Amino acid sequence: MLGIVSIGKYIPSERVNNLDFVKKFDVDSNFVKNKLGVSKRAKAEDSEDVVSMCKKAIADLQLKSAFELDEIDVMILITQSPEGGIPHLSAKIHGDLGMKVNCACFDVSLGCSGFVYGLSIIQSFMESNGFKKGLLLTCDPYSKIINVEDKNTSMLFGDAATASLIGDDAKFSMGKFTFGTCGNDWRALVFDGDFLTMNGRQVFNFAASNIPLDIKNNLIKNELDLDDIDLFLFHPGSKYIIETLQRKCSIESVKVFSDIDSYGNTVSSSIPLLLEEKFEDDNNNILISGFGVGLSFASTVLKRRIK
Amino acid sequence: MITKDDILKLITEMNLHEDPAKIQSDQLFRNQGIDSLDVTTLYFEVEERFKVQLAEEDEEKYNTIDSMLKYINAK
Repeated sequence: MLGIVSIGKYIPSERVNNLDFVKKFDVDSNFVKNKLGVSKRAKAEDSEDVVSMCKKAIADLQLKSAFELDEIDVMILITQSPEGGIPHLSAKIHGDLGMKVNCACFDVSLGCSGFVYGLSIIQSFMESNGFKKGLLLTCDPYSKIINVEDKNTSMLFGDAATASLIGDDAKFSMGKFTFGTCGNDWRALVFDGDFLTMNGRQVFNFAASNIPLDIKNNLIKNELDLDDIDLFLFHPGSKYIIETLQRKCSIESVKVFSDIDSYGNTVSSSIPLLLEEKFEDDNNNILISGFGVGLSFASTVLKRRIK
Repeated sequence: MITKDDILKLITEMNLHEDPAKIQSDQLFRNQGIDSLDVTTLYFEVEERFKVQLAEEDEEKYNTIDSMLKYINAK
């Protein structure tokens, strides 16, 4: 059964300290630490881009899991970076790494829900084509599209890339998925050609209204109860939204992990980064739920296969 | 008819203010120690609890307890 074998990551070393901006945005350190939950944001260098960051995540993955790039049958990149377009960025990564010709590559335009959607896509693609190994990449370096004068967005987002190896010798397999789109609210999170703009209240309302029900539906679909889940990994839009969801879903706080304080909300990379940190822990069922730009959401339960 | 006590009860339940009894009903929520994220949550919970719509473009019409009651009860 296909699943996640291992996760590689790349988080740039540079950090922007949100505490340097409290006066500018008329907030206090308590707000930064305990409401946003982001003290520092990872920031890619100007010379770094999606392709270079993904290549570093793949290199990290290769240190963690022995595989040859020639074994990869499919590589899917989850990104909405404006760098993308023609050609798709996964093709550039493929070319730079000298991967085999008969490797399918394509990009998927999704943000915070992207990793969860991506798992379903790559699993289905691999199963229907008899593929053995695949790479699921994520990268959305929002620092390149954030208006530093915008209080709504400039203190939240950090840059990162992840690379997940999908194969038979998986540590976690994917359960059943639930998906959703609130397309009427697409204006809540938009790149206008220059900057990302976000209507925080609309995004909060969307998450608070839709995610608790999606969690409930996903548990039913997976024939599980809340108590069967050992760990919840919600997309960490902010500490505040996590705590709101935890309360609305009646989840014990000890079962929720969402620490992004040292690097920020990394969009499509947020869930795989949290998962990578918890990968070796003794959790049998991990519910992952991504939600954001679109406005889009998706959830599934990851089930441990190898002890 | 929603009352001031209904709103204060909600603020207390949500733990949005260290001493809800001190909240001035004619002063902006944001000027009374309720930060922007908490105000967003308050609006959401008011909508859910009382089954009303607080239109975003009308925020200036419900950003105090008094104006919120006027706004909601007029509908």
